[in-house]
Amino acid sequence: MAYIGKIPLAGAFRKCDAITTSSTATYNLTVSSVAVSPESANNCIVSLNGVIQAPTSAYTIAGSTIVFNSSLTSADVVDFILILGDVLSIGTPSDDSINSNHYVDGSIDTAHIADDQITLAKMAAGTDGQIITYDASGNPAAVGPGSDGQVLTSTGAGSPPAFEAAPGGGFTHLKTTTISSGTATVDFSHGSGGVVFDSTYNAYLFILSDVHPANDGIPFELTFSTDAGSSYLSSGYAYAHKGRRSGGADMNHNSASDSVIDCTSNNIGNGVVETVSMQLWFHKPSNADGHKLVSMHSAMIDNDGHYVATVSMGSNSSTSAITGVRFKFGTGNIDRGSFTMFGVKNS
Amino acid sequence: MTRYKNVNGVRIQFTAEEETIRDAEEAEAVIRIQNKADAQIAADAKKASGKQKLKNLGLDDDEIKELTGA
Repeated sequence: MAYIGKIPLAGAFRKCDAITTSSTATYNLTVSSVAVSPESANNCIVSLNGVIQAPTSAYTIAGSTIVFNSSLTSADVVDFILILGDVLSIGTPSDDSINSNHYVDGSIDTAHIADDQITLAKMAAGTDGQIITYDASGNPAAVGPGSDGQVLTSTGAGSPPAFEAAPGGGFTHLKTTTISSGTATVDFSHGSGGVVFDSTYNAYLFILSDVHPANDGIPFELTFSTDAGSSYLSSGYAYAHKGRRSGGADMNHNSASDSVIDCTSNNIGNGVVETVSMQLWFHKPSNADGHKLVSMHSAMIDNDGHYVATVSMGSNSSTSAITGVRFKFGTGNIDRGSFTMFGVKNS
Repeated sequence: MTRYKNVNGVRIQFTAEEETIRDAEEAEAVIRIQNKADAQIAADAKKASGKQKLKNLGLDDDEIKELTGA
């Protein structure tokens, strides 16, 4: 509860200047000739004629005056008037003189903590990887740390979030290779640089963008490896295209036995704007039951400046697990382009 | 000219063996390119002659396009 009335000066004990009595009840109170105003009669010790006076009954305080309950005479002697400060107050403590022993346990409330003052170092230690949330009672609670690969998911209202297995299915980015200078082949092979090419995924998607040949009029080709890129198969390939070129020409090619998979139905030009972009799905490369199949869609500009769309497939007759793919032009280098590999899981 | 391969994002110089293999692949590709071009020329020629024969039968260009797609 707040203090009622004028707040006493903490720890101030002041003796008033001597008072010359006369035939009046009211006298000014001064200390060193400066008027003072005691907070109440109870804050004064008054001695009159050698007798301590009772506060409020023998005298009252009115501002900077003391009023005796009856007029005095010049024969009366005010021995002293001592003004007391707040005798229960410790006053203003010195800097850094109060420690936690002087606080009542649990007495520091929110109002006594300034905003933005709780640093991480002031928080109680937890377990590495945990996060802080709120429980159903609204109290802070630690969640986790979960395990590698898990994701934080909501468990709905009234329940803290939880680390759970990531949802099954979907795309996982495995690798993007960007070519900006002459490179004969771009390879993705299992087991290094973040590339996984095995039964981990149900299929693999390659997105090839703005792939530009150094030479003019060149097919874009694909080969497979069964030894994670140490070598590439040079026979047993088959492919079939269904293409259409601006100007109306159909461009259909196929081969049942070749040394590469020809990915495009026409040859690509090397003019600055002439490139090929495509998406290529590689289905179940670890499947040992059948031939490996890839399906492709491509858009390209040929060496005559025609726009060409191609839907195509490719295969190899090997039943060994395929663990690497190689992209290349028939001759010369790839001098620009980006090649991105995703793994795709069904669940 | 020295060739390079990019394996999983790392650019690596071809070995002598790889250079030999690539030389052979490029020689094959030249033949494949020519065969592909020849096949396309032949297909285009057959398409043109077939179109002309249809015209000779009295079909106009729109009718031929609806029939053949070209």
